[in-house]
Amino acid sequence: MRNICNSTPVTLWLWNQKTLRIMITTQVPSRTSSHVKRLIFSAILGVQCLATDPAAAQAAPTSVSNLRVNDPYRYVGLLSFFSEGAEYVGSGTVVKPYSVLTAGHNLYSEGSGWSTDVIFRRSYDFGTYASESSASKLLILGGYAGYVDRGKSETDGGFSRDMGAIVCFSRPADGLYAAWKKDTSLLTGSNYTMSLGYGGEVHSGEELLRSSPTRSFFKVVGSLYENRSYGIEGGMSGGPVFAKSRGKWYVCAVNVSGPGGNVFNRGAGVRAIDADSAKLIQTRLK
Amino acid sequence: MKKRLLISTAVLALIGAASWFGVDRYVRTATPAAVGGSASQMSPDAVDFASVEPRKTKSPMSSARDPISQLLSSALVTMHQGKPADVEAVLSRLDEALGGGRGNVEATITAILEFLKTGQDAATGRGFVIGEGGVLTESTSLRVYLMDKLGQLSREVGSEAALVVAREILQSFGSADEWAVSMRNVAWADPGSQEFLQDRIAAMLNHREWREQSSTGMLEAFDVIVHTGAMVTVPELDRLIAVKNSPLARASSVALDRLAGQKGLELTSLLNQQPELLSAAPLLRADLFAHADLGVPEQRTQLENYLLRSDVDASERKKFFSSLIQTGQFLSNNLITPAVSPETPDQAAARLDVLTRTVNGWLRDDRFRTLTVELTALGAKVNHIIDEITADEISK
Repeated sequence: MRNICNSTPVTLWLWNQKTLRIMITTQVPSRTSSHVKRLIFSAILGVQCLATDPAAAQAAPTSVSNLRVNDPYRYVGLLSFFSEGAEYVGSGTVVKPYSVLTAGHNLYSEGSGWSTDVIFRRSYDFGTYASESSASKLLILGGYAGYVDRGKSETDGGFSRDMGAIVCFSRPADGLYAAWKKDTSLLTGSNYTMSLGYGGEVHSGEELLRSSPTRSFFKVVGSLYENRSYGIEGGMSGGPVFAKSRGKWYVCAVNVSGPGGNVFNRGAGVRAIDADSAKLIQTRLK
Repeated sequence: MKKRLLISTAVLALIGAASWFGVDRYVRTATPAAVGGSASQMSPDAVDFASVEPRKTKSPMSSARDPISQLLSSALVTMHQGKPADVEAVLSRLDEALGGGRGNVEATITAILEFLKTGQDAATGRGFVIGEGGVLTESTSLRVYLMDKLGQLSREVGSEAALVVAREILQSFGSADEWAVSMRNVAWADPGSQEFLQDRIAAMLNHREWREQSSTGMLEAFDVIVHTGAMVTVPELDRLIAVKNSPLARASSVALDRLAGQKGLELTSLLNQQPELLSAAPLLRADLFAHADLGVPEQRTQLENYLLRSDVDASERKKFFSSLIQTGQFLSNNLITPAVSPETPDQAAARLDVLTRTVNGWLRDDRFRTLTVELTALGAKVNHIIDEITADEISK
């Protein structure tokens, strides 16, 4: 494994940039009203307490940069890219020797097409990182009938397809990668879960954050699941939702949507690993 | 006067009823229990399949056909009732009964043909979802479901039944979802149907009613463009892309992206010949050119011509140069075209090698002198990636 090295920090976006908000949570501003409305209606759904974990559940994202070299955090990294002339960041997880799972909306935008200069920096922390891998291929899990792009498809149906991956020229984690599972009961059951990523909407976007729900996720439509007991912020899009099952951590979803702003009790939307995405990981990623 | 008014009202009512039971049938099938079994509720696509001669079967036809016909009648009733669990169950029974490989396939084909001939239909309450190999895993209506099965079964036994039905369906604008599966059936059964399919997909794109209320089947039918390499549709795709937040715009951009990947030379030649194409979406145009294969001299020439175009500005060139390093790809099950596997890391490294040689060549080429700064920046990126690959190789 490469040592964590000092490097020129990537130029991050300006947070007062209107587009940034749209970036990771591109969908957020225009989505907020319907999102909240639906969550109010869903409040009547039964929920169950989650198993406790040594890492106490945090509804709002908090820094776990001290854990970034430990399992499973070490497979997570910052994804920087350009789209429509602006630079953005999102998050991703190494799930195959050369491949990083992320949200589809980090990789494609209807108006300007594919993102460019997509670079994954694993275990990024204030300008240092364990490895830097440039994307050779951007993959969107979707076709003619649907994919999600930044800011244009802020519908539940769109988010339910919001998954993509990059294949890198080099191995981000020396050939190692995070375990993942196609099992939505990890979201809807009582397993401990946590969202990770590089939130920059409230935080700096320079350190790894974690937030954990205190209740189970519920299915919205297709492979979109939501949870109103915690929140994620802009920059965490594409980051993993890890679930603990029998002592092991598994990626079971990626962060895709949230209410935006500092409202971490309003919910997070995640795109679960379903049969289609499991097949993408298994057969298409290297 | 009153009498004349009464007659006019009656005539209008008759016209209204006729259009309700006829032309608008597909609007009503959007909700379960909308399509009945009476003659007045027959599909406008109900055609005389006399030309489809059921093959003679060795076993008595009734032994296989009757249970299937009964099952189809019962499925129709269940779908009209619209209870999702019951619909689910009846579709499972149909899957079991109509699955190829067991029973009498030819008799099953005959039963499906006879059902389709009645024009009866019902919504399933499900989507239009494509699985592996272009087979539907969800169908919006019973007729779409049966046409999908008919296509599979005909393919299995080499029957022309699905082809004949499909060609008939494609003669009139009934249901876009039926058109989609019909075009697939034509493509499966008739490899020489490119021209016919190009004509039909162009007609589909121009059908106003379908454009305004595009169904999922219509979006999936954009795969016909890729299958046939229909460059003739590119101007229309360009127009559709300009419609903001439209499902058709998205389908168009995916179709163009796939065309660029599969017909790079044809598409880049066309875009160079008609510079007005995609001039309103220059960054998307840059992506399309970036799909071209630099290792193929003819394609490289098109890229060079593109770079030298006066209407291509710096921001478009910047996007193009960056996209040469990392290209994108949509992964999905498609109606006709097979899924293309993404390149392997070795292939990516080989592509980078070609890019390196090409950029070095361009840097020495007087024609590109004005692009030296941009090409140097691209070269620096490539060098950085080469260092990245080298370091990774050493660590192995």
